[in-house]
Amino acid sequence: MSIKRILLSARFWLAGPVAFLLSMITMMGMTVWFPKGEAAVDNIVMPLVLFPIIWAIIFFYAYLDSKIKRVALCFSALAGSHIVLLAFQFIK
Amino acid sequence: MIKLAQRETKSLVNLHGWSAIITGLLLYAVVVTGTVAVLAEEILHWSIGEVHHENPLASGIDATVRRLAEEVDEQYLEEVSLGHTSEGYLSLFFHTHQKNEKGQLEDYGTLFEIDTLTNETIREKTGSGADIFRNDDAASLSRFFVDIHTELHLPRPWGLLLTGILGLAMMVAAVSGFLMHRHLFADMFVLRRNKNKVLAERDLHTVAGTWGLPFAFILAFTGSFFSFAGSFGLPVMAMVAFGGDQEALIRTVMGAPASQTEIKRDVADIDAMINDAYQRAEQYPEFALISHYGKEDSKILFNVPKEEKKLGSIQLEYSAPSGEFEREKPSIGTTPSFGSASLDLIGPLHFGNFSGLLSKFVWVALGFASCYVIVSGFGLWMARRRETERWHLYERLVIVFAAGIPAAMLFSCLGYYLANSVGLTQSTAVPMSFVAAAFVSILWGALAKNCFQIKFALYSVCFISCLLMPLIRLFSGGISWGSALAIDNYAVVMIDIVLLLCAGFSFYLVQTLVKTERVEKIIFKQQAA
Repeated sequence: MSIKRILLSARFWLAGPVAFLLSMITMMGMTVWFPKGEAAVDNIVMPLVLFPIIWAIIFFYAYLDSKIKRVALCFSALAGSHIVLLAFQFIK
Repeated sequence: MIKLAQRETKSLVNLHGWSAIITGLLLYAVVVTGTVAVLAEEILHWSIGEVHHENPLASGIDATVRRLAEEVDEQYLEEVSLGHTSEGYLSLFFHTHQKNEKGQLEDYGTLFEIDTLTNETIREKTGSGADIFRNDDAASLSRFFVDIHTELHLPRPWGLLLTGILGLAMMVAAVSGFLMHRHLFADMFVLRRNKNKVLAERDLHTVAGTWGLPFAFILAFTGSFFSFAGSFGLPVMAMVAFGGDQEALIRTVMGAPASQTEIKRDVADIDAMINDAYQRAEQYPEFALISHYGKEDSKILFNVPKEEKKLGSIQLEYSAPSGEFEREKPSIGTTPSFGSASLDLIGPLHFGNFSGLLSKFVWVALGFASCYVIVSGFGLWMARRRETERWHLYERLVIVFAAGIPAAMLFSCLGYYLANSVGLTQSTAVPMSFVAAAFVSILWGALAKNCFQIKFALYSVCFISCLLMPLIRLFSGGISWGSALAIDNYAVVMIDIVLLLCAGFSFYLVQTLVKTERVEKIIFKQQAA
């Protein structure tokens, strides 16, 4: 596969930079919905700890799902929901 | 076993190969230095030689702390770190927190290093924590190995980001390697040594890779966490949870009070608190942190290592003015939590230090197996593409990395021991020797006639360096095995033996290489005839 074809493929962008960005947005959004726990630190620590796993799940899903439109839809839903949560957090 | 469709399996094979080809060389550099860095503490003691093993916090430090607290600038009493230096002296760092030119909070204050036997001040230095601790010449060798592993000696945060991405690449290799196996359990035991060479190499790669899968996944996961949390994770979480206030984040995570009082109160007997900590944890603390020294709200936090075969450490908090024990503190937050427990697991799992030397050696062996998996993977990739001209250069590059990095690391040890005789500081000589050896390896990789010559030269250099290193250490002022054992510095003997074993392994590689070359020449001649 030529480099030009790779760069023009939607899967490359979704599984590459978009997956990384989405993992970051998910990690940040998790501070809002993840239970704080008794010490009120779980919502800060656990998203950080889980970041590599979140990325791996998002990456392999984007890489392996045969329907790229479904990947784009799922990514949009995940990103949208977490951005809304973050927006509420900042407005509050 | 996960059964995937043919299309998905093919995609995974492509992903496994191409991700390794793109990131594998740097990943190998991180894994091989990480394998060595598992023994960083032992390498530190090996390189220093004269190490005092008595815990300085157990030797009565109350009078020293009070005397020095009178001498230092009052602003540095905001926090005092008590611990031990790489040589085993008592270290006291009186400091405050200031923003540096990049706007990041940094420790700034005066460091004292005290010989608790003679009460003599060995070193006194004022400056930022990063500057003071970075210029510790004695620890330069072990620090150099750790720094290559964690940041590849690139500026922050780029080095951490890169090693984080490499960690994710390792995770991709591990997960895709796991998913693409059709017969995972059978593949763990199949070694067809009598079949053709490529098939035998493929089996060895698969067996080593399959057995090392859980380890590779754990290391990739914990390593990525450390890199990303250090580079952007913490600032990002501070921005989200605390509106960018990193101080507030640290207060919540460390469980420190939001406001401080300025009412003065003398500190109670520190030695009595240390003895109380000993009674509670059955071990003396290795590290202590006095916050807000000489004030009414001052606290002392003792860090006591847990006994062998238990993870993490115990943190005991005392009120400094009354000397009374207040609570056992988790590593983060004020009360035990799931987050704190998870975080306590990550360090030992990455460093392999949860069961003393035994677990460290298991981690070294598994790290070595991971290096083999990476290098043999390159070999398999090349075996299918040797006919293509453009891959020849890459093959040379792989050999230069695979054998050149260990050779350059050995030369950095040489630089450490010979620094004084050539008028350089060890902090300068160690990276200089590494870069010089790496440059010569690359040059030889470009100039040599064929891959055999590159391998032969680099393996031979590794063999000779490993064999001579214990002698070089001894004749450049290092201590003998007898003297090392007399002061309980077992690391000297242990690392010397490890080097001799590595010399044996390098010799085996040289021998095998020469034998294979001879056989290939005979076959070539027979085919030509």
